[in-house]
Amino acid sequence: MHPLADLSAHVDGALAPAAAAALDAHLGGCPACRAKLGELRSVASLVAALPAPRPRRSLVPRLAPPPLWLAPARALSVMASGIFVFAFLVSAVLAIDPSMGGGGKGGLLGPAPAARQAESAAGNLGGPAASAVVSAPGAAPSAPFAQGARDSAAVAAGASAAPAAKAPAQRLELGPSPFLWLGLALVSGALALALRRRLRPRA
Amino acid sequence: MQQDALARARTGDPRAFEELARSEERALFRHVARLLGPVDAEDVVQDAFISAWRSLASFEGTSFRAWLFRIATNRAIDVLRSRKRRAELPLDPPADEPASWAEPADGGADLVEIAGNREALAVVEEALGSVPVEQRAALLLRDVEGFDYEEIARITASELGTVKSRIHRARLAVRNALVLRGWRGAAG
Repeated sequence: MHPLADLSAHVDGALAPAAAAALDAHLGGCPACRAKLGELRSVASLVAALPAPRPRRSLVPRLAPPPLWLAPARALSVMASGIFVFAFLVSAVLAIDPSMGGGGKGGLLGPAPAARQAESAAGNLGGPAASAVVSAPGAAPSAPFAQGARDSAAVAAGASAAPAAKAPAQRLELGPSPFLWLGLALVSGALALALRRRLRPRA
Repeated sequence: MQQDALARARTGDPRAFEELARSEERALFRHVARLLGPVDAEDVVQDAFISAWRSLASFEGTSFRAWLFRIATNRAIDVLRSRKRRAELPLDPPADEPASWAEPADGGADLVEIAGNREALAVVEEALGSVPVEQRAALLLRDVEGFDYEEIARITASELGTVKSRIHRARLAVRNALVLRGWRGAAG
């Protein structure tokens, strides 16, 4: 009689001492049972060696209440994200077309029409200054006057050219680059999402 | 350290319980995943943790790990039983039905030398999937999680003799599946 039903328990050391001793005595004289014992031991090793499946996410429930600063921090990061998105949009619009800065609003509109006015003023002033310069070399007695005219024309031209030269350079920008605001919006948005997940109750 | 965390958790410290749960998360998941599949296992393990936290006051004994496995195994078996109403799943055979040993074919690989062979592991995985869940649970608790027979009896709420029979039948089923794929037994 082969005690096959006890073989697995013997592999696991779960037989009572007397039963284990009796089985050992049987195994000493039964190669078939020894072979089966070896097979069951191998099966136990194979089962133990199976690759362990892993969860896709943490399964530990969040039981502890979140810290007090978490909810206000999330609200702030949501607001900041909104502000940065708005700043990005404004900055992008200004970068594409500064003239789209808007109507009578002071700082936004001022430079572009003023630039055009300054350019036309410089053009008008350049006319008299140019005729004064042309006529000056031919008339010695009028040279001081011409020189004066040239000087005043040059000053006027310079003064009007300065705003004219300045006006194109006064293109309004909101920060160094629109992408700065976009980056800040993304960072604060990601922070808001992360804080929201942390706040979400799990139990 | 686990005893210290358990003592703190029993006083109502949620962080201590989270610490305990984190230490058992992977083992619990791999066990339940082999009973149910990985997708359902995530929900079952999470529910088991929440249930354990809520009923921590009723935990008696020293092995928190065995208690967790008991909760998770029971939940997994409940889920499988609800699936049984929709699909055919193998039932536990009668205890007095003798387990049969398949005859090894000649010329196959030696069973005792194939531990770690990828193909063998695939056959083992497949064979485990077709073993009745109570037998599968008992075998996994023994060979993978390292519980002894007494602990397995407490985890599965069954008799020691039943645990012994289930483990033997499950191992034999896996052994027979390997033999039928051409592996022969050890020379002795």
